[in-house]
This record gives sequence, C-alpha cells and structure tokens, in this order.
Amino acid sequence: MATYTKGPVAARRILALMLLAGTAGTAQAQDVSIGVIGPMTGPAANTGTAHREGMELAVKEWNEGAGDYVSDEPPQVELVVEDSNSKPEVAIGAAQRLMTRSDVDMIIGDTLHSHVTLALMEMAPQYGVPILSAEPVSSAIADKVLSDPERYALYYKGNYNSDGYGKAVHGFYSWAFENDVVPEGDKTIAFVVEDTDYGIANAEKIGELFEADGWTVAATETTPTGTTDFYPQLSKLRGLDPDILVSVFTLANSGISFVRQLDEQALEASHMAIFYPTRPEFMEQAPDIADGMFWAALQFSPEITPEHQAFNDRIEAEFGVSANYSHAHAYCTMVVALRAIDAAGGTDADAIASEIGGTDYDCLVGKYAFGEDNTVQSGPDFIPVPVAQVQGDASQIIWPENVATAEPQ
Amino acid sequence: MTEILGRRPALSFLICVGLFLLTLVLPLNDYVLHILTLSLIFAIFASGWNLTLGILGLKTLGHHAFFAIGAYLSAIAAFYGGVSPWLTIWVGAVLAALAGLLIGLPILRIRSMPHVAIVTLAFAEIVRLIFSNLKDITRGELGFWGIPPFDPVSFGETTIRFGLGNAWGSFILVGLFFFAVQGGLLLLLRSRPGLTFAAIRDSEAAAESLGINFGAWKLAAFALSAGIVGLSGAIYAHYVMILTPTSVAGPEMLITLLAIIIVGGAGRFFGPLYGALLLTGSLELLREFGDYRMLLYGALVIGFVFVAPQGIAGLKFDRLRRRRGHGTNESSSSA
Amino acid sequence: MLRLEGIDVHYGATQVLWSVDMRVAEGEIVAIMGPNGSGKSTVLKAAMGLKAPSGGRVLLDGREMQDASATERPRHGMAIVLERRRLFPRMSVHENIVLGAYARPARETKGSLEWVLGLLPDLREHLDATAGKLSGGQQQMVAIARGLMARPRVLLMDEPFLGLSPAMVKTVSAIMRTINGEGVAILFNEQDAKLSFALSHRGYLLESGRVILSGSGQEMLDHPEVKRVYLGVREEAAR
Repeated sequence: MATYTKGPVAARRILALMLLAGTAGTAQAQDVSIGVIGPMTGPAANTGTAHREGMELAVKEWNEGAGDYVSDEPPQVELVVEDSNSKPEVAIGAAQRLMTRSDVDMIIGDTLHSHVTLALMEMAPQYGVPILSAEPVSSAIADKVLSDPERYALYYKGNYNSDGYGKAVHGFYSWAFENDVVPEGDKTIAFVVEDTDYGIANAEKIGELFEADGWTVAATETTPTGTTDFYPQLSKLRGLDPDILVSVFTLANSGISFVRQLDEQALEASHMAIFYPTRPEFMEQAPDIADGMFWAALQFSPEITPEHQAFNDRIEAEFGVSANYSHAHAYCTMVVALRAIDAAGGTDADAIASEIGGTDYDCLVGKYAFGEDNTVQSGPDFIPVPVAQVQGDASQIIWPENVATAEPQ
Repeated sequence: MTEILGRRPALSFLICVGLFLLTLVLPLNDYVLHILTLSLIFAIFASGWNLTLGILGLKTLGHHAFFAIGAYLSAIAAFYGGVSPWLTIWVGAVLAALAGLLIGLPILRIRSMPHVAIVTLAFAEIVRLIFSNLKDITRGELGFWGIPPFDPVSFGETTIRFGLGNAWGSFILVGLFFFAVQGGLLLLLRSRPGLTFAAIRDSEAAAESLGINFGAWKLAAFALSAGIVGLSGAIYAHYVMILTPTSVAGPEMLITLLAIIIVGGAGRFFGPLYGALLLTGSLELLREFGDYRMLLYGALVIGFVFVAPQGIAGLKFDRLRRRRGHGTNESSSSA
Repeated sequence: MLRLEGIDVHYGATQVLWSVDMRVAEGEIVAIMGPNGSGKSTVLKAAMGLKAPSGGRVLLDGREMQDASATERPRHGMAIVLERRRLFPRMSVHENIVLGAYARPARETKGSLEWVLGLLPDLREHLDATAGKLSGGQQQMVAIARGLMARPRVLLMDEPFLGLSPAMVKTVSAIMRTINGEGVAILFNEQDAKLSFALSHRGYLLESGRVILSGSGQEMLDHPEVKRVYLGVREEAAR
C-alpha cells in the first residue's frame, strides 16, 4: 500500500531537479554576457565546435586587451555556449535558458542553421534581446525580417543571403566564357544538391540567373544530408550531358564521395563545387581527386593570405587545431557583436541593435555592413565570394580578377 | 490490466494533475516551463504511440509520420486557410487518424513483426519526402514559418497568450491537452475496450473465440493512436511555429520517442509521462557536462534499459509485486 | 439444438473431415472420441466457425450458421473452451472471466459473474491472481468460467482434460456435470474412451475424419470395436 505513489514520487524528483537547474544561477563577475547557440552535438557538431572556438578566441582577445575596441573602457565579456542539436525546439530551449538562467544581454545564434534561426529569431521580440545569427544564409530569414521590420528590429543576420553564392557562380562563369576558360556548349546546367534550405536555395538562385541568360536547367537532383552514394544521380546526369554541373553539400564526406564518383563517371561538364571544399577534411584529399575543380567560395585561405595565416596560428595556439572558414566567420561575427556592445556603452537592447545595424568594419573575411533587411551584404565591396580552383596541392583564387592569386588552369 | 495501468491508476492520475497544478503556482522561469511543455507534447505523442506499440504489441515504427501529418496539415490549414489553430489542430488529428486507417489496413494483415516495422518505417520516410517535396506549400527543408500560435484567451481582465515566448500560457495549454488525452485514455483502458486491447495482445485466438473481432479493434486502435499522435504534432506546430520535414518526421524524432517509450515502460499507461519527463529533463540537466552531454545521455538510456527492462513504470510494478509476494495474505484482502 | 450436417473440412489440399454428421440435443453432454489426428478438434472449430468448412451445414436451433462468423456465434448461444485453455496469461483471473461476456450486453456481466462463481466457487479467492501463474487445473476452471460468461446454451470444449492430474480430471468432470445440470449442453472431445463415454450421454467415435460409430455413452463403452481398440490397447499405452 505504501509504495503505490512511487511513480509520482519519481516524477516529483525529476521536477525538483529541473527546478534546481532553473534557479541555481551562477554569479557573474563580468560586465556583459553573450550567449551563443549552435550545433555543438549532432551531425553538424564539427562546424559548431569551430564556431565555438572562433568565438571563444574573439572573447579571450577582447578580455585580455587585444581586441579592436571602439571605446576607451571596453566591457569585460562573459561567453555562455549552448547546444541547439540542429533542432529548432532545442534551440528555443537553449535561448530561454540563456535568458532566464544566464541572464545574457545578447544572443548569437544559430551559428549554422537557417531553419533553427527562423525559429530562434522569434525570441528577439519576445524577450527584447538582440540576436545576431552567424553563418546561416537562407534568404527566407531576410524575407521574414522584411515582412515585419518592426517586429524583427532586434534581429540581425551575420551572413549574406543565399543569393551570394549564386551571384558569384554566375559572375564567374560569365567571365570564364568571355575569356575562353570554359566552353559555353549548348547552354545546359544541372545541379546535385543536398536537401536542405542551403542546397536548394543555392540551386534555385544559380538556375534563375543562368536561365535569364538563355540557359536550360537540365536537372536538379536533391539528396538527403549525409548521402555518400551518388551513382543514381550521376548516371542520370551522364545521359543529360550538361555543360555545367553545380554540387552543393555541407558535409565533407558527401563532397568527397561525390567528387570521387564524378571522376569515375567521367562527365565532361565543368564542375563547380559549393561549400564543402571549405572543409579541411575535403581539402586533405582534394589534390588526388579534384585537381582543376572550381569551387566557391575561398573566403579563408591561410596558404595565400597572410592575415588568415596569422589567425590560423592563433587558433592553433589556443585550441591545437587548424582554423577553417567557420572559425574565421564566427570570430568576425563575435567581434561585430563585441564592438556593437562596446559602442552602445551598456546593455540596452535597442542601443546594441542599432550599433550592429551601423556596423562598418573590416574583418578577416571582408567588410561587415548590414543592409535594409538587417543582413550582411556580399559582393566585391563588402564580403567577397571568390571562386577558387584546386591547383596541385593548394587552392588558388581565380575570380574576381582583383583578388585572384593565380590564373585558371 | 494492472500490468498496463499499475495499481490505483486513477489516484496516480490525480496526483499527476495535482503536481501539474502545483507547478503553475511555482515561480518557474520560461526555460523550465519550455522544457516541461516540450516534455508534455512528447508525452502525448508517446501515449498515443504506446497504444499500438506497447498495449497492442504492434511493432509499428512509423508514428512520427502521423506527428508530421498532424503538424503540417494543421499548420497549412491555419496558415493558408486563415482558420484558428483551435480548430485546425482537430483537422490535423482527424487527418492523421485517417492516414492511420489507410496504412493500418495493409499493416494489420502482415503477421511478421519485422515486416510491420519495415513497412511503417518506409511509410514515415514517404511522408517526410512528400512534405519536403511539396515546396510550394511547405517550403520543404527551407522551413515552414509563419505558423500562427493558438489565439489568445481572455478571462475578464487577464489575457493568456500562447506560442513560443509565452511560456506560461503554452505550458497550461499543453498541460490541459495532456491531461485531457491521458484522462480519456484512462477511461478507455479501464472500460471494456481496454480489456479488449489487452486480450488481443495476449492471445488473438482466444480473443476471437470469445467473439472479439480483433481485426476491427486493432484498426480502431491504430486510428486512435495515429489521431492522438497527430494531435500532439499539431500542438507542437502551433507552439514552436516552425516546421521542417526532418525535424518532425526525421529518424531522430523516431529514436527520441522510442527511447521515451522504452525508458518509461512500453505498454504501461504512465510510462510515456515518466519517460518524456526523465529524458527531456535529463537532456537539459546534462547541458552542464558540455561536450560529454550526448555521451552521458546515451549511457543513461542504456543504463535504464539494463536496470529497468520494463521501463520506469514497470520497475514500480515489479517491486510492488515482489513485496506482495512476501505477504500474500494481507494483500489478498485488498481485493 | 446443434446439428452438423455433412461437414467437410480441408487444410489446404488435405481433407481432414469427411461428411461429418453430429447433433447435440438440449441438455446433453456429447463426447467426440478418437485417436490423435482423427479430426476431433477440427469438428469443434468448424462448429464454432473458427475453421470454415468446405462443405456441409452447421445448424443451431434449425438456423444456418454459415454466414455467422466466429465472432458472431457467441451471440447465438455458442461458446468454446479452447485446447490448452488459451487464457490471457498477463491478465487477472477476474479480467479473463469478464472478457467471456464480451458478446453479451454489459448489464448482464455482473449477474453472469455471480452465476459462474456460484458454479465454480473455488475461483473466488483467485480473482486477482495473474492467470498465467495458475496451475493447469485452475487455468481450466478459469477457461470454463470464461466460456460460461457468454451464457451459452451449448458449450464446446476442446480437450478439457489435457495435461490435468487424475484428481483434477475428476474435479473438471464434476464441474461439467454441474454445468450441464444448469441446462447447458456440452460437446467435448477426448482421447480416452472410458472417460469420454462415462461422462457423456451420447458419443461419437471419429477415425481419420469420419464418424464410424455413434450411440449412447453406455452403448459406446459396450461396443466390441471400442472395447478392443480403445479400451484394450489404449489402456496399456496409458496416458
């Protein structure tokens, strides 16, 4: 008789633990506290970790007097990192935890995913907290801001829209046809992209720009994230014989498999790879499997850019790993946030947001400035999206000409 | 039925309701409320699935498809039709139940449980692909955003708002849904249908000899189960206000829910609640451990499966029975 | 009241019953006796509708039962106690028994339960026990109680004595007589000729799916063929 309440007791215990977790806040010695939400676990944990390292370095340098300050009395900053597990509802939980438990003054997140950001940005009006997303590019986010600018006044998007790559790919090929780098053929283009907002939005934008020039999209093949078998897609494409083949994956493994299988199928198309060549795991194998391949975007290149090499050395000294683009982008995003808080001279949300909006700052990957849609702008004057080519052991920037480090081969 | 409901289920249920009411007056912050809200949504999902997976013993692994159907169809009806979510969630639930009937008809003819598992898994994958390819309507993996929250409710001066960011209102709302579903299921399982489900699980041949048309009952249970899961999906949609095919119908959803049911106790009435609270809660508590979080979470799930193979709800039952075994005389009088 | 006329049953291409005729009159206990594999159980399953006959008719009070599925027949006053009891092992005795009333209106359940427990008073103290943990004899009583909850006018019993101790066989036989005394006709099958025909008013001898002999219980026991084959030989190969 006495034991029948066992179940409810268990439930009560869980509840008690959760209460404990909710209320046992840690005392803060810092002036300002910034929360970061990104995929620290799950399939994208690699990138999430790079984001964390980049941001931790930025905060460390800032606190140690090595930052690029706006004011004479920059605040000391505390960083709290939370996991989004690549899921919107988990990120929401993380944001609420940051707001209620860590009492943060600003949130950077999601560091990678657009779909997570679409949910997370709702927290800005709800809690009156400035939110700056890092790497997400989906134009849907900017569209959402434009649909109700007042509501999303506290939200900023720290990366350019998904048309950034599209414009670069289109711009590069227009130049390449003119200069006989690539033959134009019978004007057909095909896509193999991963089934995410990122992959699809890129394919759509590039397709749109080429179609305006009289091209035909022969096929758009989508594959689930993490796919490593592309024979079905490739054998279909071999029949269609496109002149340009664009592939978009966020995972290096998919990219490596795709490039290998593409090589075996011996398609004649000019291949443009998007995003995955930025992953170091891919580049380790690239000289063997991808010599001569075009890719976008070489925004971080320690081998050929001294400033990037210096950054790489700092990351290596701090974390014992080589830096990649995600480190650099996260670092710059954090610096933009730190400078805005410094300039605002306090933790007032509206002031911080307004300072973010007024950002005009040269960082590792380009010049940060936000447009009307609260989104970082891309292009030669802002954040360039350079096209590179695998040439021997390294990748060289071949377009735009003003930043090129080598001629196309 | 004791095995399924535990001893004194009505009392346990009332204690849970009491605890819920207690949490309403506690000064809980939004974060804790959000985690509790998510736990309860998953508990509704798990309760619905438990009906077929645990109580009827059908190894169906595709219920996240019904979650997605409920979520997306309710969201679509509310977003494009401009209909209030208070109404569209029922559309989502009913359509999920119909989908359950549709897929239930062929599944219930399959005798081999591994085949049932594969067919239902494949069904879920088809549903996920459909929602991710209906890009004009759902925006696919781009994310379906702009889903309206439940309309606010006013009581005189006070207005209760729902949806993300309105943690307190959302928690009350989801709590009410949870207890309505759980209370309904309790009534159902304590009456003749509950006995009938248990009879079908124990022996179809004996059930048939008593005049139980087990085919029809299983189909009805499958549809009800799909409907409840669809309802939980619809509630989720209007709470989180964004959907992607992968986040609602992806394999991770399947694994999360399966873990909730197994850890809580498959086939036990209170299993889903315990499992949802424990797993969702511990996943948050383990945030303290940073990088080791998912590792510890995995170890926790494995640990529970070893320590309590019948789940938390089952653990309680076994221990109780062992105690009864020692003092049979006094306990038999309680009948 | 229950009549089987020319029942043929096939399992796939194999015919197991050949034009079987049987009848059970009001208030009778009727035994089907025969060796293993002679088709005794199949007769009961065909009568209950659990196995569809390929030919012949099942009549209950002159009404054809062919169109009534197994799940409908309890409504017409038939119930079956399956071979090896077939209880719901994880449910309590009480739940098992109550489920027997599935085909009856819910308001009758309480009265039926009292009636059944009056006939099988020993069950009262086991009502809360888990059915699967009872002894074979106790399980048989639960199975009979469950069958009676349908308030049948004819109760079919498939191998009711299978695997029971001699003492339990006596108890179950006594229970069958008691039930019969309440006006329930019983059709059961059993391999033991002495047991079958001593308990029954009438009996049938089934061999290889055919009825080869029928008569009153005493006639059957006295029949030279039964004596020679089943009482002589069987007794030695005793169970």
